Amino acid sequence: MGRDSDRPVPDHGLDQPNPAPLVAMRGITKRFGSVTAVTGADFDLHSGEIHALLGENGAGKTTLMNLLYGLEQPDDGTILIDGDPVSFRSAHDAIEAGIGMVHQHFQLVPRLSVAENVILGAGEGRRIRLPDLTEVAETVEELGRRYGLGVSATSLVTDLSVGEQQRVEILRALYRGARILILDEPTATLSPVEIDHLIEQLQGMAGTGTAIVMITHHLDEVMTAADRITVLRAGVNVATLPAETTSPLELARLMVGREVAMLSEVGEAEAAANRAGSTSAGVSVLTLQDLSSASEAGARGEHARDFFDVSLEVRASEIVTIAGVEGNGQAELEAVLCGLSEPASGRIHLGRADVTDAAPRELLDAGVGMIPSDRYRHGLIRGLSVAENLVYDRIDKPPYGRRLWIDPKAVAARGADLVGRFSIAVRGPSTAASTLSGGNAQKVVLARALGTDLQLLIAAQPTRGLDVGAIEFVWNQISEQRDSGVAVILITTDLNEVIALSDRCFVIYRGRLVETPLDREAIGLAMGGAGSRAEGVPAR
Amino acid sequence: MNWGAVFGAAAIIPLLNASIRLAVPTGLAAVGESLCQRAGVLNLSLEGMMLSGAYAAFLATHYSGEPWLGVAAGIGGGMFIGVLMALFSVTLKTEQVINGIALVLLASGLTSFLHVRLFGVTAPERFDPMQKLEIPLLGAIPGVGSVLFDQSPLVYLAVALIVVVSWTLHRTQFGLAVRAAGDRPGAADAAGISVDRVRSAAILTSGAMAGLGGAVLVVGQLGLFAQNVTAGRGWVAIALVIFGRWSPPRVAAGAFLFGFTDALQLRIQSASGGIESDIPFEFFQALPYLVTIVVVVVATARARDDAQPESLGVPYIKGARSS
Repeated sequence: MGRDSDRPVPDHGLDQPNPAPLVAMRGITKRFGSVTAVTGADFDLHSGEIHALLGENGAGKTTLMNLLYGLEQPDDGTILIDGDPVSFRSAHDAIEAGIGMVHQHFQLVPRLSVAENVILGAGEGRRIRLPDLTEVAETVEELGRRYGLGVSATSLVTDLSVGEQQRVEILRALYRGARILILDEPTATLSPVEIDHLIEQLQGMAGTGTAIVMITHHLDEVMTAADRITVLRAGVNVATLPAETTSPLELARLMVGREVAMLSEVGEAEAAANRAGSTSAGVSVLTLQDLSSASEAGARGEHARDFFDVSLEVRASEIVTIAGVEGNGQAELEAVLCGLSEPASGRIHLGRADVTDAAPRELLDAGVGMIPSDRYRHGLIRGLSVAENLVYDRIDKPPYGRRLWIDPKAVAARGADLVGRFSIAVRGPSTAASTLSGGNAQKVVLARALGTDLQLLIAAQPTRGLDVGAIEFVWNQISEQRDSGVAVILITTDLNEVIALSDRCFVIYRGRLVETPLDREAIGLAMGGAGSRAEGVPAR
Repeated sequence: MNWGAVFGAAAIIPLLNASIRLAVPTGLAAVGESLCQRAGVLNLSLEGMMLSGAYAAFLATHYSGEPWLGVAAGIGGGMFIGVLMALFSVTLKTEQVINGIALVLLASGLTSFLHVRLFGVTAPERFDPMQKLEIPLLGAIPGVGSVLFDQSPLVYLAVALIVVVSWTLHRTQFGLAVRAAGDRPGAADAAGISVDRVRSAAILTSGAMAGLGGAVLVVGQLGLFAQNVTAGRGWVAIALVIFGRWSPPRVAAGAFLFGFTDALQLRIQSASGGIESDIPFEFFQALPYLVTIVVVVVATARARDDAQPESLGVPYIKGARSS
């Protein structure tokens, strides 16, 4: 699949005179307070091309596209569409001009139907009555058939899978006549099979002349999907390259601004070596026995988030991974493992002790470290300082506190110590946690969990949304724990992470665990439910 | 006590007729509030809107002698509080609950103050409530005709408005925008809808309807104004929105139930000897409110659907990180 598909090649090859670009952004600068998100960036987009916008977190990719989509207004620079300067005051203006944007977090209203979501805002201010929803639904399904984006237009969005919701977003843009389609991190929540399918559909759309911008930080997708690639670093366009003349390594270097070990490629060999070298797994630490979050009968239907009959054993000095696309029950499993909710049936043993009904407090005291998947909801208290966040799981224990009292000096000292050890970039331990960037926020969570002797580490989505440098750091910390004898259970959606870290791997699909070999393709297929049922996706 | 006077065949038609009449002020406010809440604004100023509308209606009718002018002023009085609510909650993005309560206190204080300043301690002369208007032909239908079509013109206006609001919510661009803004304002914004404008419009509509409700109370029923004449009907209306699971027809049905209990208690009061009765009249007056509490508690405890708008009460700040 991929680049060598037989769709028409866009006619802006380097050896032909370039036609005027569909979109030209010139010298764009955008500041937020004292922070400059985008600095004098240029960006061109031609019709019929897939243009990847690549960069680390905070590089300004989304900001640049929000400017094009009218969600923000540039402080400096001009935007030209078909050669004419435009100035969008809102997304509404951009939609009028034929631009559609699919955000990373889908902007759909769950309790409205697909058809209602499609026409939402489309006729505002011009007509009073809604168009006939049955007609809208037919048009949407017809569009879906044309581009291979099948979805039932009369269902409620809340009943759709993540992949289907994404299709609704794309269909909505097309329904409104978008000829420029911006996709922000479109693959973040899709299974590998769904990603392949999406890329195929995008290439089909580009073949009919639609210009597509794909914001991403995944190098492999860029290489398969894109015609041209623009790399942003710290708000500056560092290069725009045709895909056929570049390589993942070059792109990674451009993104980070220095040589990097390619985690996805080098990492594999290294990880294998690590596994061979690590002391063979020791005594059993965590045992899950027929654990279910709901009885089969009580499950909440087709898109249930429950898990069933989970049995596994995690021994000392090994990393056991539970891979899977989001929404397959891993969040519920995480909650049960961390003591935040109770299973409907089954037992959990930590060593010999039955901890099925243990509260988080008892688990922490027993040496369980937790890196929760939602670092802002369960990992950090944004209003507290970094130091307070670093000790709040033991604030009632000496030397930090006793009965009603807290010893601020001990808290500050511990904060300073951990900030140093985990190289957390903050002005000081008393800085509010709400000011931390994603990578540093995760380091705080990591430092609190790992800053003590553990027997078990539960790490859920530990690198989600982090940039390459921070990912490297987190991965190293987790493998160090394993090497020092800790049992690690890793819950992740990231295939690279599975390959880089796992000693053994399970895939969770619709709430059930399947053990898979440590093989990219096998895991990818199992994540997409291959064999059981792949909805709307052609078998391959 | 003569129960025949309450439930007898001869009594039942006037009882139902009175239920509708008494349901209208609360019903108008409640249906307006349900639109407002569907847009994501928890408008607790409703009692203030009703009160302000009631007083404006009273003043206009008192000085002009023209009840329809009073109705218009009542709508304006409700919208006056609505403008403040929209300014604080939508434009300035401050805490909706606090704004709502503050505005109720403002309306209550302001109307009482003005009333004392303008009329002193002697109550102004009562004017005649608006006459009933029996609709030809329909009003002649036995039973149903006398219940539904022998009412004040304000009742017809109110029922029509309630129908229009239900239709608006489900069949118009504005209604769709309201539902989106109440559930996922961020998504509505991204779709090119101005969440602020939609929410402000919903608040103003709510103000107009609550103000009209207050006007109906004064111009259509009592013919006088007394301090806090709305007697908590605005709060009942908010409870009815929850009881009706944010669906205007169900909310209107709840209002009818409130009106029915009110009509019933009046009937029982007079049947049990009126002022001569052994049972204090306050007990009867409290009945509709007690029934409302019980019904709302039972209905809410039994409700399994999550009909509440997802972003109810949450100010929408463009570009802010949503949870």
